[in-house]
Amino acid sequence: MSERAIRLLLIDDEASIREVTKATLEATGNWDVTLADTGELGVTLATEINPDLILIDLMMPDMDGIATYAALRQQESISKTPVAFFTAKANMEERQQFDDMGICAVISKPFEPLSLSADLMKLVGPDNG
Amino acid sequence: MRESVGGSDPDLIGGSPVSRARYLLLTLVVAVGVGVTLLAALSSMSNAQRRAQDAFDEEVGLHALVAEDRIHGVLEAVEEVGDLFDSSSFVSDDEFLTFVSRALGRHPELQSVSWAPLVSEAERTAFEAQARTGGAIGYEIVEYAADGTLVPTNRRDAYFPVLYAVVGDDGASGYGIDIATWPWTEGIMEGARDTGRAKVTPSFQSSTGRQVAILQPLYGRGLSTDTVADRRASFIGFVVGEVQPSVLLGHEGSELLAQRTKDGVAAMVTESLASGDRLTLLKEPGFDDASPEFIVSFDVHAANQTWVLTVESTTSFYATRDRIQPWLLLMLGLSITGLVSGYLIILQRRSTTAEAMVATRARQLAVANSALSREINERTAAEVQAVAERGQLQSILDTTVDAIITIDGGGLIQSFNGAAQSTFGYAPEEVINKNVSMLMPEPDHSGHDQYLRNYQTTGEAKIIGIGREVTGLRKDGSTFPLELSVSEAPVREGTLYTGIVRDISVRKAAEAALADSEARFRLLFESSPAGITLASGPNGIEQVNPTMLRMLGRSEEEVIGKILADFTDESYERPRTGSRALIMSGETETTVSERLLRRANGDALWVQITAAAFRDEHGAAVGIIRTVEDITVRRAAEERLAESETRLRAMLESAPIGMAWSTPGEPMQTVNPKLREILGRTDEEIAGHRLSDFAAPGPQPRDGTTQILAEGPSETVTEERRLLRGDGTAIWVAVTASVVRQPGGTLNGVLRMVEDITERRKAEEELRASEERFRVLIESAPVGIVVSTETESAILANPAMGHMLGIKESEILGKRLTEYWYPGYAQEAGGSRAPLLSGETDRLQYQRLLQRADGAPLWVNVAASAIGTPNGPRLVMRVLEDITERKLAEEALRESEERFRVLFDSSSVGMTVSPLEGGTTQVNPALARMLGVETSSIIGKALSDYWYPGHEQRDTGRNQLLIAGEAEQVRYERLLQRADGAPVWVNVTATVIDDPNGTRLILRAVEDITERKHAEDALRDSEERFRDLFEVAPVGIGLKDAENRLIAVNDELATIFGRSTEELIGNRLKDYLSPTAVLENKVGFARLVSGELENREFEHQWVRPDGEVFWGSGSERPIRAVDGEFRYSIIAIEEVTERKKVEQELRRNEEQLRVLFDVAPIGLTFKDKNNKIISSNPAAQQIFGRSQEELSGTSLKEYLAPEYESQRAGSTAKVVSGEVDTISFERPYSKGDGTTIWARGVESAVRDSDGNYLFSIQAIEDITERRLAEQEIRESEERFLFLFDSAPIGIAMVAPDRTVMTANQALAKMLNTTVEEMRGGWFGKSFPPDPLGAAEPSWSKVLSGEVDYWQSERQVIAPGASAGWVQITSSAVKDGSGRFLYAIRMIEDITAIKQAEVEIRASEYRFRSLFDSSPVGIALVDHASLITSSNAALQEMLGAEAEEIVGRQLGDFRSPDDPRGGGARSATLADDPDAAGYVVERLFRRRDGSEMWAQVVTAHARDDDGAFLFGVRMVVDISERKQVERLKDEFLSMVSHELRTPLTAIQAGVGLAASGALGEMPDKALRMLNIANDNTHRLTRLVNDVLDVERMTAGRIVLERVTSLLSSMVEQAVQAVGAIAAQSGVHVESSPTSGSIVVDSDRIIQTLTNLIANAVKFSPPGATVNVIVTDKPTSVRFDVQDQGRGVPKEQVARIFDRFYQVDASDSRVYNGTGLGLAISKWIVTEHGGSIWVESEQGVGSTFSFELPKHE
Repeated sequence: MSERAIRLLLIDDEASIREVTKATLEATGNWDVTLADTGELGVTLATEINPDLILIDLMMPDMDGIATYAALRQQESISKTPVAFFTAKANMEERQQFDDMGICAVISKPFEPLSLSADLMKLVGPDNG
Repeated sequence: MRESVGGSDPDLIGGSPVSRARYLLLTLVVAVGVGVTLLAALSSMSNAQRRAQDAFDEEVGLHALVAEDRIHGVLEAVEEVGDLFDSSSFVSDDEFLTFVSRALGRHPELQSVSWAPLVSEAERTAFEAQARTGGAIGYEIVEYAADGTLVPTNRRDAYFPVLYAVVGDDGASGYGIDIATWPWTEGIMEGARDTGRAKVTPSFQSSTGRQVAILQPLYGRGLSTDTVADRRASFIGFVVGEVQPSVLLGHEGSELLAQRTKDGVAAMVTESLASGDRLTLLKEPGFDDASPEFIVSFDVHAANQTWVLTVESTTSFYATRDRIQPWLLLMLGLSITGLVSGYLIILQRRSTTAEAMVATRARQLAVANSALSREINERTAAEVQAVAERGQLQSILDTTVDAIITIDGGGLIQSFNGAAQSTFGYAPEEVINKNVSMLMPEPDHSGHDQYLRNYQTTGEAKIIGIGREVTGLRKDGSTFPLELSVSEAPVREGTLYTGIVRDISVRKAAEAALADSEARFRLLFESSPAGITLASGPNGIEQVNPTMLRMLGRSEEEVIGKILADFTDESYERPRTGSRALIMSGETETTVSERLLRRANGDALWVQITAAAFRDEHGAAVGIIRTVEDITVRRAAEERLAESETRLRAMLESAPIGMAWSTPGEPMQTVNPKLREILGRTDEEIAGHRLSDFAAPGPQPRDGTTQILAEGPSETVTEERRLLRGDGTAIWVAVTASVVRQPGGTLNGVLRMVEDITERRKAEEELRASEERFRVLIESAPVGIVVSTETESAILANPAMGHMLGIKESEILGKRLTEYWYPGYAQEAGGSRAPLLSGETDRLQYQRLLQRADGAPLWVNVAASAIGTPNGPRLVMRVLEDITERKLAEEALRESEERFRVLFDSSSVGMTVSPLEGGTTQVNPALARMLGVETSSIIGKALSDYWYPGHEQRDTGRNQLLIAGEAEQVRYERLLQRADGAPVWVNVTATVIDDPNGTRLILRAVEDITERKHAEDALRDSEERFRDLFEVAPVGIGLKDAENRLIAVNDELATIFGRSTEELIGNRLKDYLSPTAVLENKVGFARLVSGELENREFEHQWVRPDGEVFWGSGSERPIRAVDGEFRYSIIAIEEVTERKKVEQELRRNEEQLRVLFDVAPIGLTFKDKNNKIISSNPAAQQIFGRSQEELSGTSLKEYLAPEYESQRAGSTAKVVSGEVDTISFERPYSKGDGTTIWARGVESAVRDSDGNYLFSIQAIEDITERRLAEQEIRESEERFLFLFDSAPIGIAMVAPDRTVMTANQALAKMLNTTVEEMRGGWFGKSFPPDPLGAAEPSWSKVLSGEVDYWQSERQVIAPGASAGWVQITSSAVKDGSGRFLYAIRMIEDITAIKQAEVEIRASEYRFRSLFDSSPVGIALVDHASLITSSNAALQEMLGAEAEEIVGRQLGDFRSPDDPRGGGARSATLADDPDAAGYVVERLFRRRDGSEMWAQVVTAHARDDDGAFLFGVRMVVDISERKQVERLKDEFLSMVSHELRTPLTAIQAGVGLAASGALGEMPDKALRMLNIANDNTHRLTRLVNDVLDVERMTAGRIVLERVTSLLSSMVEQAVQAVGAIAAQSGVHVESSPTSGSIVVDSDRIIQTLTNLIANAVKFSPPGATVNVIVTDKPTSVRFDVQDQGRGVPKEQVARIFDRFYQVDASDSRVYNGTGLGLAISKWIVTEHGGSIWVESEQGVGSTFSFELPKHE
C-alpha cells in the first residue's frame, strides 16, 4: 500500500454497483473512489479530480462507455490517464477492439471483490503503485 | 416336516361318533359319484366328436389370438426403434441406443434389443484376425458350427464372414450373424435391408435358449431411402430384437395359456416367400408334418410382412382328446369317486390313529391345559404358514424387475429384493433392519420418519397407493430419479409398507432430450427456408411456418384450415390420387410433386411439395407434413429448355447437313436424316456406333475432337475424314464438332455436323494436279524465275534462270540475287522487297545488270511480286527477262544521238529545234551565221521574228499541219533579214521529231537559197521573154517544116539530143533515131502532113552524137494555115530513158518474186477459176506432203480431212465471182503420208484492170501445232466448266460492270433461276448488299485492284430460293499487268448457320433476360475472380453501375465493417475444387453508404477434365435475417447485462461481508453469508456458462487465434483455480513447458480452468492434480490428472454432454453447472482438436485434449 490513496473515478449508472464497488475498494485497499452516475458527469469530474484510474461501465443510457471514453480522451489533462472498462457483457469478441482503442483492461462484472483491488492496482502506473 | 409335526398333533384327537359319521359320508359319496359318472358318460357318447373339434378350436383360438398379438407386438416394438431413430436426429447414437434398450427392455416379449452395426470390411477382417489368434477384442464372437452348437469362432480352422456383430450383455461375449453357416440368414438380412422392413430369422439355439432374431434395418439419418439402391447405400445396421419362439407362439408369459394344457396342439410360423415356398420361422417342438385331423392356417400381417400361422392337432391331441369316449368319462368319474372315497378313508384312518395316540398321551400326561395347547398349536401352524408364504413372496420379489422394499411401521427395512440391490447398490444384509431413509437424499432423508409418523397418526396419505417421482440415493452417493408406489399391508406386528421403486433416470434423460428435440424442431419449423405445413386430418392445414406464409403472401389466418388445393392455380391439373390418400393408405412413405400455386397478389408460384406422414407411437400415419419449395425459377428454366429442345430437334431433322449428338466418350445418340443419308445407313446400323466406327480403311486424320474440345480453349473443331458408306463407297466428310454446355458450363455433349465434301476433295486433287502443271510451267518457262524468302534467300530457281546466268539453277538456291550483280555497276534503285512484303504494292519492276558466269554482262528486266497467303509466310517471286539485246540497242541509240548532236552543231545548214507551241530552244551556229547574229540571241525567238520587213511570206501556217499531226514534214520558203539588213532567202524544212522523253519537237532545217532565188529570178525574166516559144519549156521543143526539118529548137531539145541548137536546125530528128525505130516514125509524119492524123505520139530510141542511146517520148502536132494547109509542126520530146529503165527493173523484180515464191516459208498456190491448182511452191508441197506434179490440176478440197469434206464448198466460187476479195480458211487436211495437219490459209483473187478474174493465190500456213495447243486449252476449259457447273457451291463470274458473265448450276438452283437468266444481270439482284451489314469493299476498290479477296454475308431475296443466307467469297482475277478482268464469287448457303446464330441469339437472349431479371444478384467471374458481367439485381444491390463492377472482385464492394475485413480481395477460387457450392456471408457497402448483408454462393463451371471455365457468384440479400440475428445478439447482450448487474452487486456485497472486511459478524450470519457467497459464485458461473452455450450454439463465438505461450496459459488456468484448490486442500502441479500454439488463448485457458477445477473438485483433500502439457510436432496435448473417484465406464461417453453430471448430487455437492465440459468440448472442437477422458473408478481420471498446430 502506498502512502497516498489512489484516486479512482468510477462511472456507472447503477447505484448499487457504484456503492458495492466503492465499498469493496475502500475495504480492501487504499482507494479514494469518486463516483459518477453518467458519462457527462464522469468527464467533468475527471477533469476536476484528475484521477489515477478511470473505470467506466460500458452499458449506460445516453452516453455509453465508449462515448464516454472518447470524450475523456479529448480532455488533454487526462488523456494519459489509464482507463478500464467495466462490463457485464460476456462476449470476448469486442476485447480486441478495446485493446485497439487504448483501453488498458476490461473488468468483468460480476467481479471478485477480494481481488478487484489487486487487479486494478496493476493498471495504475508504478508512480502510484 | 410339517407333516411330522402334524402327525403328532394332539389337536387331531377326536371321538368315535365322528368316525361313524364319516363312514356314512363315504358311502354317500361313492354312491353319488358312480351315479353321476355313469350319467355323464352316457350323455357324452353321442357328441364326443363334436366336442373334440370344439376343444381343438378353442385351443387354436387361444394360440392364434395370443400368437398373433405377440408377433404384432414384438415386431412393432422393434420397428418403433427405427422410427425413434429417424425422429431423434438431435440425439447422439449412443444416447439413442441407451434409451432404446431401456425403453424397450420392458417389453415382456422381447428378451433383448441390441444394435448390430454393419461391419465394415476392415473391421470384419480385424475381428477375424483377432478372433483367430484368440485375442480379446472386448467381446468374443461365437457362431454356429455345423452341428448346430455355438462355438467360439477362434476355435474354427477357417473363418466365415460375419456381417453383423452383436455384443452380449456381459460385454465379453456376443455373437456374429454368420452368413456362411446360415445362408438363408443372408437372404433375410438383405431382405430386411432392401425392403426397410423388419424381418424375423428362423429360430436358432443361442446361449439363452431357442430364439428368433428380429432384424429392423436402420438407415443413416437424413439419407434417402426411396429406392433399394438408396437403402443399400444408407444402410447402417440392424436393431436386433431377440425373442424366444415359445413366447411368440403364446406359450409363455400369458396367464391365459399358462393355466391351460398345451397338449394336443402345436404351432408353426412360416413366412410366405415370393417363390411360393414357405420359410419356416418358428416351430414348436411338437409340430410334426403327419397329416393331422385338425389343422388351421391363417395369415398374420405384421411389419409389412405376411406370415402364416399354422396350428394343428398332434398325436397327443388324439391321445388326450380324440378318445374322450364315454368310457373315459366313466373311468374319470369313477376315479374321482375313488379318490374322494380314498381321501375320506385316509382321513378316517388318521383320526383313528390320533384317537389312539391321544388316549395313550392322556394316559401318559395326567394334566394338560387343552386350551393352552390349542393356542400354542394354532400359533405354530400360523408361523409355519407365514414362513411358507414369505418364502414364496421372496421368490416373487427376487424375480421382479422393479426394486421392491418392505419397511415396517418404524421405517426399518424388512425386505430388499434383487432389483433393489442392483438399483441401490446395497446387499440385503447392509440394509435390513436399517432405516429406509438411508436410501433417500436430503430433504427426504431427514423428513421420512416424520412423514411416516404423520401418516400413522393422521392417516393422511401422501404417497400410499400413488406413484410419484422422488429421488433415490445410491450406496455410492449418487442420486437418481425414481418412481415410487407404496402399498401398505397390515400384519400382526403392525403394518408393513411395500415400496415398488422404478429407476426412471433414463426415462427422465430421454424426456429431457425429447423436450430439447421438440424445441429444436420448433425452431427448425419457424426458420426453415422451405415452407412447411402440417395437417393431421381433413380439417386442412393446422400449422404453417412463416416461410410458407411469405411464399403464399398470406397471413396465418388465411391459411389455417385451408388445403393447398385452395391456393393452387386453376390451370394446374391435380393428380387423381392426392398425396394424402397415397400416404394415408400406406402405399408410399413420401410423395414429391410439383404444382402451380397462386400467391395472394396473383403471382404464379411453382413449388415442389414433399409430403410425408408423421405417425403416432403405433406407427399409424396420423397426419401429413409438407415441405414446400419455391421452384418457380427452375420451372421457368425447364419450360424454356423444353421449348428450346423441341426447336433444336426440328432443326436437326431438317438440317441440310448431317448432325449427330453424343455425350463425350459415348456413341452417337441422335442422328439426323441427313447424316443417315450421308452415311448411307439406317438408324439401326448407326445405333451404338461412334462416327469413327465408319472410318474408311487407310490413314485417317486423328479422331481427337473430343480430346481437343476437352482441352480447350476451342469450342469447335473441324476435321476431314474418310468414311465408308453403307454401300461400301468411301466418301470424304468434313466433321465440325462443337461442344454444348450446360448453363453451369459443364460439358453436356458434342454436336457433330457432317458435310459430304467428297466433291470438294476431288476438286482439290485436281487443283493439286493443276499445281503440278504450274510447276512444270515454271520449269519450262523461257524467262528466269526465282522465288525467295523474306530474307531474300532463293528457294526456287528455274532452269531458264540458270541458263541466263550460265550456271546450274541449283547453284542459285540459298543465294541472293545481289550476288550476281555486275561488279562496279551502280544499279538503279527500286528493288526493295519491303513494299511487297508489307502489302503496299503487289508488283515491282526494275532492271538489273548482272554478270554471267562467263563474265559477260546480262541485262535483265525484273518483275517482282509477293506470293503466299496473306497470313502465311510471304515469298517474293522474281521473273527475270533477258533484255541484254535491247539494252545494247539502246546504247547504240545513245551513241547515235551523240553523233546527231555533233552534226547539228557542225552542219552548214541552219537548224533550230522548237517545241510545238513555239519558241526556239536550240539553234546551230550555221543559222546564226546565216542571220549574222549570235546563236544565243535566237534562243526563245521564232523564225518569224527575222522575217524581212514588209515582204509578204507565202505558205504561212504550214507549221500548223505539223502541229495538228496532218503532216510529218513541211517545206516552205522565207525571206529573212540578216542583222546587217541584207535579205536572205531560205528554204525551211520543218519536221516533227520526238525527243527521247517523248516530247514532240519541230526541227527546222534552214537552207540558204538566196543564190538559187536570184537564179530563179533571172529565169523568170527569161521566161517572160520567151514564153511563146518555150511554153512547154521543161521538154525539148522544136518546130518542123513540111520537109520534116527542124526550124527552131529550144535548149532542152538540144540537151536531149546532145547537140547544139544550131546543129539541130535544118536537120531531121529521124536521122538521130536508133536504127530499130526509123520505119515507124516515117509513116507517122507523112500522115500528119497529109492531114490524116491530127497529131501523133511516139516513143523512140535516139542516139546522141556520143553514141548514147536514149529514149524519147514525144508528140507532134501540126500547125496549119487557116485553109488547113500544113505549115509546120511543133514537136515536143521528153527524155524517158529513166522510165524505161524502171520498166526493166520491174521485170527484174518479177523474177525475184518468183524466187521468193519458191523459197517462201508459207505455202503458196495459184489456182484457176475452176479451183484447180496451177502451181504451188515448195512450202505448200511440204505442207500437203505432195509434189508439184501431184498438186497441179487438183483442188485442195480433195485433201480435206474426211470430217471436213463437202464443208464450206463453193467459197472459192465467191472469190471467182468477185463477191468477195479474199476468203480465209482453217481446215484439217490429210497429208500425203496419211497424217492430218491443220492448215490456215487466205485466198485472194487476182484480177485484171477491168476486174476480170485471172487467178487466185492461196497462202497456206501449217497450224497443226497451234491447233493442238488450242485443243488442249479447250479441253482444259471444258474441265473447268465441268467443275464450275458441278460445284456444290454457287459460283459466278462477275464482270467489271458487276453483271454476271456466267454462273453455275448450283447457284441457279440456289436462287431458283437459270444460268441463262442470270447472265448479263446484276450480280446482286438476288442478294443485294446490305447497306447496314458488314462492310464490303466498294466495287471501285475492287476495280482499282486495291482489294482482290473479300467475303461477305448477304440475305437472299429471290422468290423460291433454297438459301436464306449466303456467304460470298470473292476473288479478283487480273491480267498480267494487274488490270482487273473479272471476279470469281463463290456463294455458299449458310442459311443453317445463320438460323443457328439466330437460335443462339434467341437462347442468349433468354439467358440474358433470366440473368437480367433474376432477383438474385449474379456475377460471372473469370479465373482471377474478377467480374466479367453482372446483372441488374447485383448492380442494384451494390448500388453501382455495370461498368463500375466489371473487372473488380465482389470483395471490393465489401464494407469496411465486414467482420471478415472489408474490401479484402479473395484469392482465386478457380483451382479449388471445393469452392463450388461455397457459401459465405458478407457485408457490402453501397456507394450511398447503405449496407447490405448478403449470402454469396460460389459456383464454378468446369469442363470434363475439371478445368475452370468461369465462375458464378450469386448474391442474396439476407439483411433481414441478419437484422433478426442482430436483434438476437442484442437480446443476449441485454440478458447478460441484466443478469450480471444485480449479480455484481450481490457478489461484491456478500463477498465483502463474508470476507470480514466489513467487520466482525456473528458466526451464524457469517455462515449464511458464506452460503450466499458460494451460491452467488455458482449462479455467476451458471449465467456465464449458459450464455456461452447460447452463443456457442448460435455460432456467435468467433475464435481469436493468436500465438500463445503454453506455459502462460497453464499458469493462468492454475492461478484461476488457486483459491478453490487451496480451500479444498488439493495441490495443483503443472510441468514447465516452453513452446507456443496459435489458439484463442482465453478460450483455451477457460477449458483448462474448467478441467482443473473439475479435477480439484473431485479430488479428496491432500490429493494432487497434475497438469501435463506435451508439445508434439503437429499438435499440443494437455492432460489433467486427478485422484478422484473416477468416471463410471458407461458414463464416459456422455460426460461431455450438456447438463450431464456423473452423479445427480454432484451439482449440489460440487457447485457445477453441468455445462463446463460441454463448453470445453465445443472450444476444443472449434479449434479442430479432440477431447476425451480416461478413467478408472476409484483411482482417478485423466481429462485430455489435443489441439492441432496451425501455420
